[in-house]
Amino acid sequence: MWDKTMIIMLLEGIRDTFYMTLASTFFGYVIGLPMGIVLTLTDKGGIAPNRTVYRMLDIVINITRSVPFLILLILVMPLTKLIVGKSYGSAATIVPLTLAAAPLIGRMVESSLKEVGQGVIEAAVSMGARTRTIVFKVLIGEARTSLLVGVTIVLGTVLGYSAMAGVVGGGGLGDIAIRYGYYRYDTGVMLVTLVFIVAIVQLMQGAGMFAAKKLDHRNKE
Amino acid sequence: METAYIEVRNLTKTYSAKNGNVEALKSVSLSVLKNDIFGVIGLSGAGKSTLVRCLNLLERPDSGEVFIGGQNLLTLGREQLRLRRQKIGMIFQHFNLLEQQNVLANVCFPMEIRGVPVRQRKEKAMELLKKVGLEDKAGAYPSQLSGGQKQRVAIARVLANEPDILLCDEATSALDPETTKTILDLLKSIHDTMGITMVIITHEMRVIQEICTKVAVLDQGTVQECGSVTKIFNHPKSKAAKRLLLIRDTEEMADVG
Ligand SMILES: Nc1ncnc2c1ncn2[C@@H]1O[C@H](COP(=O)(O)OP(=O)(O)O)[C@@H](O)[C@H]1O
Ligand SMILES: [Mg+2]
Repeated sequence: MWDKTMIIMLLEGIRDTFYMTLASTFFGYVIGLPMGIVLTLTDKGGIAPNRTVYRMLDIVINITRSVPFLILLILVMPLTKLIVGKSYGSAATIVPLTLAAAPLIGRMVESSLKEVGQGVIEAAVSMGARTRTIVFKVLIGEARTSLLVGVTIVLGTVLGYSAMAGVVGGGGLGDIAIRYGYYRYDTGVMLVTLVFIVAIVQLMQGAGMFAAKKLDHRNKE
Repeated sequence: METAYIEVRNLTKTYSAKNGNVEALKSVSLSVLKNDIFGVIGLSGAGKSTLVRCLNLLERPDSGEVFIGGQNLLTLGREQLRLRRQKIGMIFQHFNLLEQQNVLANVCFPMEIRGVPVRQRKEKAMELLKKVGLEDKAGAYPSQLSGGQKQRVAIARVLANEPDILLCDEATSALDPETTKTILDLLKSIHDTMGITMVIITHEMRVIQEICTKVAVLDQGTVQECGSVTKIFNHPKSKAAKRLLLIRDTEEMADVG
């Protein structure tokens, strides 16, 4: 079973899994980071409270977060086809993955930014800081450790979703595991892909935590 | 007669909480002359923080007026207020430094906000750190400093914008008595050399005695008494002032005994 084509297939699976996970997480942050920032600013106690805006975003996030990923994947197929040109394969999977990641990211960013003390935000306001400065320097700057931990959690979740997309030919390691393990009863290949998936999650987790710790200056001795 | 540099008229502020409303300020009027070190004393919950936060509109009063240098802050637009705040410094009980930035970056922060070029920022920040006796801590992070050192960083930071007013909300309340004394001495010398009008909020009489020239006694959202420190210490009229003196005396007794 371990011929050259099999090895190439596995390597391509790893590449595709990385590609889908990283790209979707990136695009997820392009949408989710601003959402998290707006949620933080507009919530009561934020520096620009706005009930309507907060409630609207809050509801959108709650709704999209409650749609199971597989259903979301099928629901957005027309959109995927429009953007990517086809509805299967790893490039196509990025569309539903991004849409699933964005609201999760919005929430994670919101909760990270809300950990920043009211006092230091107030100090910046008292210095006459622009909202932009407060967002980047105070909120994101001070919450960076928590934000990075968030990134590692999102990466793990998105990778898990990407494997689920294997059911509909989504590409990557999950696709291989399902094709061989489920359709062909080849447990060996399935287990190998599983080991790779776990290893990748571990790797990303480790790198994220290392970076988070490295960048944290709050408890220096 | 001298004109007031900071003047508040009939300030009221009510907070609505779940278990009823709290009238934090009930028609408070005060004037602070240029160059005064003006103390506001009162027990916890008297409304001191609310009052001082109205002076730079961190808190907006429900009614009343806030004049700084003859200008009514409540009539300023967003951008004008933002620029005016750059000249009204504030220091806090819990210092409120950026924990993820080193001391130098913290002191540079207000200048960064104003758009001062990097080289100038750093030069000025080092100068200020020297002034507060922390030039050797420029690269340290707040978590590596003692409370007194953190407050010194906060003082260097607040001076970076050359404020004409300095608001201090319980700036020494998290510090031990000795450190309190050194911080108050520092504030006094800054006042004497830079001519900054100061408003010092505290619940401790000895802070007032140490550096203030005038004092207002605040209790349950109203000014009970206001005047020179010596006058109020020697001849307290209001119940609130007498009670604060009593607290001071029992604490001194406890210190001796
Ligand atoms: N944001 C707030 N929401 C509700 N109540 C508040 C708020 N801030 C202050 N208060 C209440 O207003 C009163 C005065 O508070 P404060 O100005 O902080 O007093 P002080 O600084 O003298 O201790 C207190 O009863 C306090 O509980
Ligand atoms: Mg207070």
